[in-house]
Amino acid sequence: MRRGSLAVRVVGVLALAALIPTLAIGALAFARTRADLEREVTRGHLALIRALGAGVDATLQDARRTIEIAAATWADARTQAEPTDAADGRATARLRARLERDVPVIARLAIVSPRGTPVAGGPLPPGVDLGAGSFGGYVGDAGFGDGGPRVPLVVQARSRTGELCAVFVAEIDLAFVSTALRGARLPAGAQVVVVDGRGTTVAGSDPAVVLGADRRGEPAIARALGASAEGHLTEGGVLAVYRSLSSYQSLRGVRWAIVLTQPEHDAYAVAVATQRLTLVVAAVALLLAIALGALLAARLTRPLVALTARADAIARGDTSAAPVVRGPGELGHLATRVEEMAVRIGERAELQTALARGDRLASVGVMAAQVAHEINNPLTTVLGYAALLAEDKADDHPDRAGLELIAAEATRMKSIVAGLLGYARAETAGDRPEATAPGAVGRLVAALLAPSVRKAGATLTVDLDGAPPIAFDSHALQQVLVNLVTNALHATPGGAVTVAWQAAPGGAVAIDVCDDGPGIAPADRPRVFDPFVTTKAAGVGTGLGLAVVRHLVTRAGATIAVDAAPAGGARFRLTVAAAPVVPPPGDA
Amino acid sequence: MDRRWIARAVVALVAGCGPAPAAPAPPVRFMHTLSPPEAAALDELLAGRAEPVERTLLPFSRAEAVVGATLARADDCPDLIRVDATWLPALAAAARLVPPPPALAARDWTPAARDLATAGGALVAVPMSLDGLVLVRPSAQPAPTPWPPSSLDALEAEAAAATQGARHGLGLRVDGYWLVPFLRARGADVADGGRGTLGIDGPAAEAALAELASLFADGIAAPPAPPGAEAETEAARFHRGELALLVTGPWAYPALATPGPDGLTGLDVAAVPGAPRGAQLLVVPTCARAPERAWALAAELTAPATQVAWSRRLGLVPTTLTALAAAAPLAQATARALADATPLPRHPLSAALFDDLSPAVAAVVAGDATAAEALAGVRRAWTRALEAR
Repeated sequence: MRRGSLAVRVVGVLALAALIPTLAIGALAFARTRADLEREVTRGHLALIRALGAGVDATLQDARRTIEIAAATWADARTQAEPTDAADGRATARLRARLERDVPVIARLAIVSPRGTPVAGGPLPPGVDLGAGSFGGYVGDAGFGDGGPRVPLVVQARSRTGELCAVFVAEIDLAFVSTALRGARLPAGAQVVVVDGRGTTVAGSDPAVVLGADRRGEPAIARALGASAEGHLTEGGVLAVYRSLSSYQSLRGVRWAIVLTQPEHDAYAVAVATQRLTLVVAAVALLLAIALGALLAARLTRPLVALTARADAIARGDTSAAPVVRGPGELGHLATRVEEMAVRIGERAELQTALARGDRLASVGVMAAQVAHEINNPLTTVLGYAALLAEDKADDHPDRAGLELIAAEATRMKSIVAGLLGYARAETAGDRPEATAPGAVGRLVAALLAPSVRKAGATLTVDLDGAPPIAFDSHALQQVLVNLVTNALHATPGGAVTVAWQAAPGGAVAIDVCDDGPGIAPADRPRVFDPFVTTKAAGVGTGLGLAVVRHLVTRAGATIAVDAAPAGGARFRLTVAAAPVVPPPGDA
Repeated sequence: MDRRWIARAVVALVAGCGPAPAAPAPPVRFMHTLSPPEAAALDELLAGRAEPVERTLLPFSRAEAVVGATLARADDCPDLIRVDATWLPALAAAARLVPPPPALAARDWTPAARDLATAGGALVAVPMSLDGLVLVRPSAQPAPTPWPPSSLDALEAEAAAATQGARHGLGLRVDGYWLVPFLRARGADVADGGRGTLGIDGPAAEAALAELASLFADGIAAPPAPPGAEAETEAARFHRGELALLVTGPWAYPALATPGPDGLTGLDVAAVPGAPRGAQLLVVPTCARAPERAWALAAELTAPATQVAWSRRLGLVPTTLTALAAAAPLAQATARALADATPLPRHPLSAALFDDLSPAVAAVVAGDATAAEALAGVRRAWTRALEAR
């Protein structure tokens, strides 16, 4: 495909048509995919930490309810906090031991009186109060001892009447939180930590997490501790979602938070892979589209290219019949119309040429008749007197040569006048074609031209015997053959001239006059039939012979063409329709 | 060297030698006990604020203790705190609060709101919203007659009349705060630390508690909700039509009412005779790092436009006359219903009274104790508390 051609432009348009929506839809899909994925990832992570937080909450609530029931049962058995006797003291000790044994998250249990004095298990841990205003208990902030992270769970022990008898303070071992987090099926690369209200790490899904570390400086932790509910942020290539555990409104500690962090490249790994795959698929699809577009464009524009070439040929004047360009739909229709148009243009050109030639020939005919009429008689007089004067002169008379020259030139002028008269006669000859036997005419022509043939030192072979009768006036045929043979003798002095016939398509008869002379150049062939056009030396021809031939042929409805003879000279082919067979009288 | 590069270098040098940009101010730290709908409204309000606000949600049940301990330590101090009005006397008595600036103090606070924000005769807080117990019923249902009930007896009678099948005449919480109207109706009250009276040391208090328990026993009041699920249970019953009347406060409106163009709708509000009245207040502690910016935030949160918007969205009762005049109908009705309500005794002890009263109410309603037994325990606890004071 040439640069700038229609096919290249069609491919370009197709590529653009494919590329622009692909890029637009792709960009939109990428943007939407990223936004949707971020939202979904965030939502999923939030759901995960909500579930994890709820699990932690449920464990703490279970512990609280268990201790609450134990405390209420214990309180119902007495009206004051302190054990009243040794048996009561042993029962209290058994209760503590059983709770510590059956509720695994309880690391230690202490009982204090409403005034804060120890009843069993030691004094209140530092920072722990009796739960005034707490509706019965609470979870405090984490502390770290030898056994790991601990959190106080305070439960008020009230008797059956609702009266406060004591306060149960359980140290909850938060190792269960880390265990739960490590058992969770976290997303790739994700970590979950739980921090207390001071930003201290209480639990983590990663065994490498340092419990007790102060993480308030981390953006996600700081944001989580400063938030009322839940949220997310992305910073430093890490996606973080967090939830304030206080938002459960349970007994859990104040400002506790659960935070999930995940590197962005892990969080959006699927999206990145999908995007890459999409890019590859889009690129392949685009290339395929362009390749198919190129093929389609070439196929689509092929008829157009052929039509363009045909139009160029028509513009150059080649209106000869050509195969109709095949094309789909409108292209095929256009090709048919173009061919029809070419035919009409050719016909019109021929018509115009014929009209022009007809006018010229008519003018020549009129002029020839007038010239012949006006000149012939004076020439006869000049010739006669020249002959008479010459007869009276001896051969060595000094005037004799001049008189003979006058007679010769006058004879030559009569020849020209005779040619003009012949052309003029051709104007009226052959209007009524008759059935003519070419063989007889051929023999007559051979006899007529025998002197000229001898004079030219050439040979003439006429073989028209056996040719069927043709629809051509016999005199016109004789004139045509005489002119053609004379023309050939001029072209090939000392050469060979043949006149032969052969059957032509459609029952016509083709009569060829060939010589072995130099032939006629292809460029001159269209003009050789024009009047006064001759390739002979000056004074040899009048330029009217072939014009008379074509005029006679055209008037008879026959055709005459010139090309190269097989022997190398010129060949004039006269194609004439066979004469209609006339039924014998009485057949009608 | 190209002149343009020299000029750029000079400009860069001059710019680099200029005064260093001021470090951004640390965010204002706001500690609150807002409900989830209120917290969402707060987040939206502060979303477009230039100065960031760090919000910390405290569970209501621990908030007083945490605030008290935090302000006592003064090492990790918030700048602004939303507190219940019952906590104010203790904070003021401990001289933990910075009084609001005159311009803010001079706002057209409603008398009831200004009263609840006052301690020791001085305004020490900015009232954010007014609350208390009111009587609520679905406005689509026919109103009981007479409406509103003129007394607690009338209210109980109407509730009894409305009780039918699975439908209960009244929704009550098993909570000492809900006992207050019954105590007052029978001539008793909660302890008044200022006067040194227990308030429940007579038969009237026992009668009031027994009367409350009998409403549950007789099926007039809906069965007690599971502990910790009171709000959700009430809302579900209300929407199912199982409650003819509900004693609750404005904090429950978002779950009970229907949002409309003029605010929450679908509720008819009336006064509960003898009901307590309270408020949510904004205070700035003396340990605040940025008290001026904290008061500026308080001014924003109590601006009439904000109060009107929140009255429509949340049903909160505005605390300024300007906002109240333009508030949503539900909020205005609540303000009228609370007009005759009486605040709890203005004493540091008042908030802690319910630690012992509520379990006693629960014991009696559950049938674990008689009113006399339960109140005896409460008297012992309150006596200890008064003695401790």
